Amino acid sequence: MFFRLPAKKQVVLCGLVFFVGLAISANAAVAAGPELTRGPYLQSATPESIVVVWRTNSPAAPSVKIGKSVAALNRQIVGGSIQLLVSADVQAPKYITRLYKEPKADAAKRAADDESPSTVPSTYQYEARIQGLEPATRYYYSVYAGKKLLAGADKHHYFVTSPSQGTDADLRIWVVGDSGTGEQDQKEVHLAMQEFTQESKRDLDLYLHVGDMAYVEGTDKQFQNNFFDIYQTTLRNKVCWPSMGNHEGKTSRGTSGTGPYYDAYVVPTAAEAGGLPSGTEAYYSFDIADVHFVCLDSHDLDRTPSGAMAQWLIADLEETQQEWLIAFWHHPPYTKGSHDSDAERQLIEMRTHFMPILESCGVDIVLSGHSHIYERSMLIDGAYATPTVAEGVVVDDGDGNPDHDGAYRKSQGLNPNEGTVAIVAGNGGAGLTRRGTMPIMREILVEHGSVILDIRGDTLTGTMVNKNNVERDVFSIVKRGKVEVTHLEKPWQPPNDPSLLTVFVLAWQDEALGQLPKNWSLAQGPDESVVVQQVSEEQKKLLAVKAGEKSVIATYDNFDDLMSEIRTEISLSTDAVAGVVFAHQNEQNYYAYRFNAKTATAELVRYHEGEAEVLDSREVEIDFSEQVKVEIETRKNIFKFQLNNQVEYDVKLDQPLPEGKFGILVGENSAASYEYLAIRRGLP
Amino acid sequence: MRRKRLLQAIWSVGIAFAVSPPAHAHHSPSEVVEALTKRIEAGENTVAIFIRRGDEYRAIAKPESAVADYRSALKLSPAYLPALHGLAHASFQQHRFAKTLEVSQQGIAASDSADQAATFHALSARTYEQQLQWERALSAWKKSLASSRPNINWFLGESRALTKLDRLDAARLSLEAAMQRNPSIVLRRAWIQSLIDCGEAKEASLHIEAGLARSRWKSSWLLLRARLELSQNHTREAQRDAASALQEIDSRWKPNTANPWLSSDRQQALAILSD
Repeated sequence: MFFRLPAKKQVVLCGLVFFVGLAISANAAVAAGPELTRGPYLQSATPESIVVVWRTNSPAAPSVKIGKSVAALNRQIVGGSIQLLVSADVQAPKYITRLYKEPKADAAKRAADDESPSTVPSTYQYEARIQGLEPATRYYYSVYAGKKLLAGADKHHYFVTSPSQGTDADLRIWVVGDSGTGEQDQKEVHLAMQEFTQESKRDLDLYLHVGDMAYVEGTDKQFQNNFFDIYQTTLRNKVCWPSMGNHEGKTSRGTSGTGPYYDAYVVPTAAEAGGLPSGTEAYYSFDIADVHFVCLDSHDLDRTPSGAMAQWLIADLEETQQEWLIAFWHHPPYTKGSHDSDAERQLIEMRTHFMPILESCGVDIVLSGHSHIYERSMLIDGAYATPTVAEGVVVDDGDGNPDHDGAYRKSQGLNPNEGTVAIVAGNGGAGLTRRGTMPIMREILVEHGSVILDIRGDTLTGTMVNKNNVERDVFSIVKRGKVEVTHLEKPWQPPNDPSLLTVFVLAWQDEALGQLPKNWSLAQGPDESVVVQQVSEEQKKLLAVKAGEKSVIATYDNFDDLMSEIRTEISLSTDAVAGVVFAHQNEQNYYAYRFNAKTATAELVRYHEGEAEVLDSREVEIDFSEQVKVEIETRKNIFKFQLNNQVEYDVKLDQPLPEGKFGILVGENSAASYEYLAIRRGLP
Repeated sequence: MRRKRLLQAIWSVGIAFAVSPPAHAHHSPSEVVEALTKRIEAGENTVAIFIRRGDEYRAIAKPESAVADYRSALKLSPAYLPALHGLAHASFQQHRFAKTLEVSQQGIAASDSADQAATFHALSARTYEQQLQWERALSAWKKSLASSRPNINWFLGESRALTKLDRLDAARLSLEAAMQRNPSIVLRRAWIQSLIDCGEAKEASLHIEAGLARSRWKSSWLLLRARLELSQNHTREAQRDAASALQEIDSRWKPNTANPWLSSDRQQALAILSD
């Protein structure tokens, strides 16, 4: 990113840049001519302007044509309105902005097979700021390298300018988070949104991304492969307003505004689209119709109340005159998905430092990602404590669905402390996890999907559309008249049902010492053969098992489902046979993975109607006098085993693993102890 | 022996499934720490992995562990900037200010450019502020501003140090220079305060009245105007504004909740009222 100069200076600079660009173009010997390598895509829309961005792989004399119909692209934008940025390898005058290049010291430390985060060599990025447009008007466009048409001049390449600020909203907003894998789930989420908008005959107006758009490290190539290539059919005619995720933060820096993330986007820094100047692309605001949007950087900037970001937010919100307020950033203030907002610093600080500012200014919706799950709150206010509790912070504990409990109600305009709906939309493509239950949530879904927000006049409706284009959650907020707010002392709370979790850490409480742990059953073996034994003062417990003449099997009661992963640490007595059981349906039907310390072997065995079938048996180079770390992953019918981070092997089954319980197994006359047991639920 | 190994191999509750995670299967900082620990235990002792784990330790507020990792990284690669950066910040987090300054100086010495050195200068400045050494803080802030991309907080730091040193005109001028480089409203608000500090009441008043006219919520502008009035010994007018600000603050603050921003403004209003 570069600091964008005030408009007047920028025009002068852009003009210079453009002519330099032409000179570069004229001197270059590129036989094939420039090819489009990114875009075109749209940025920073206002009622009167928009920015079209694209990249080529060799120098070009760039231009854009626009018009109100495909057949009449009769306005051409060239020269001073188009800014050129180049990759570091390109020979160009110093005053031309360089795209990101990894510092030499970092490059030297990177493993040879790790991807470089630097901009792809020979990259030319063009940013055409088109001004003098009419509000809420559709324009078609095309981009050129000299006379060569690169893209557009067809019905697919268009943009619609924002409606004038202050007009009644009629907006459809797409919200996606944690999507940038480049894999099938991400594509399906995108496709589902497109199907949803087509079926409902209402196109998007804008796109908010709540971060983690380019896994794993937000490199230039990852941006291309996992963001631009996937969403191009949307990006070519809708503006994506971004917030930086921690994965982009591995190569981009909010403090300096540099890196592939900042290269990719052009967002307002000087109130070009409404709001107040932030002076940085790390956080910013903009207005569309009567909605005020605020984007914050929750990753790598000062999150204290006296920091520049908080001070800007306060000033910005004090002055907004809009009817709706939507805030978005990456780290969620409330979650128990793949992250825990009661335990992680960035999440806690966003809740304790920024939520009070936002709610004192009447925020309606807070959008975030980071946690790979969909969680949507009740109408809440004042939930700043750690840990988060529901008592006294919920103002409407209904589901907000107009067809069920009814829409949430707030007074017209922005009024402090009348309630916020907080949404974690981290389900845009990456692997999903639920570790617990956040008590202020009304809906918690472990499904890939995205959120559609429709704002029409005094009503906002949120819909979570899963990757199969099924509406899985609907809520509305109606802002009308004057509403009296009551904070509920005993609101409804989501059931803390362990069967809904995706990760089970089978820790046990102190009261189980010397006993079979709570929620465990002996499926086989005598009483008191399985007991909890404390082994340290660090809340670590040991499950000790001693079998007599019969082997012992104990199972965990709260999981009876498809399993995708197991981890444990087992210590075996000399000559012992011990391991784990899974897909345990009854004493006759289950799978076992067990070690024989005497023969130093590991076996995978299937029991079907009491008959044992050894699916795999092998010697393993493990010192069974020491503790053995065991990790088992299942992917359909492939089992991956990893022992002590050293021994790894796969076993392919002739059929997928069925559902069932998980437990431990200790053979006859054997003793073993399990320091840790954890399982992950498999997702369909 | 086994018991010792057990203790050495402790896995914290809730940090499962961090081994070889799919790259985008998101994990909490604790899980990432666990995964990285396993890789380190397996012999992967690289600079990058120690820095990564150090960063994760900082995220879960374990600066002492972070410090150890950054030191490990520096043993492998002395003067490596990301490790020095992490170590300096973790030391600051621990309030080990002498160490913070020492490491920052190493970072500055190892930097190739003003941009690289700037973050170390800024951290030094924050450290000197903690020690109430305002002259040194000022010097460090000025050096941080040699960066081509100075952070807004650094501009504010420079003016804050100048104000503490009672160089009020210089503070105002520094903010005017800052506003030439960055349009942030935060700099502009600080500049209006500096106008009050410098006795430029008329100009300050113009900007405050304009701000009041624009704003839906007025308490921060009212407090600014109250400070302007106090600077002119208009105590009654100042207290009237403070009372109005207090009324608005209370209407926006849900009782029994922590609100650091409104709490600070409320204390300012009460202080003016109690004068």
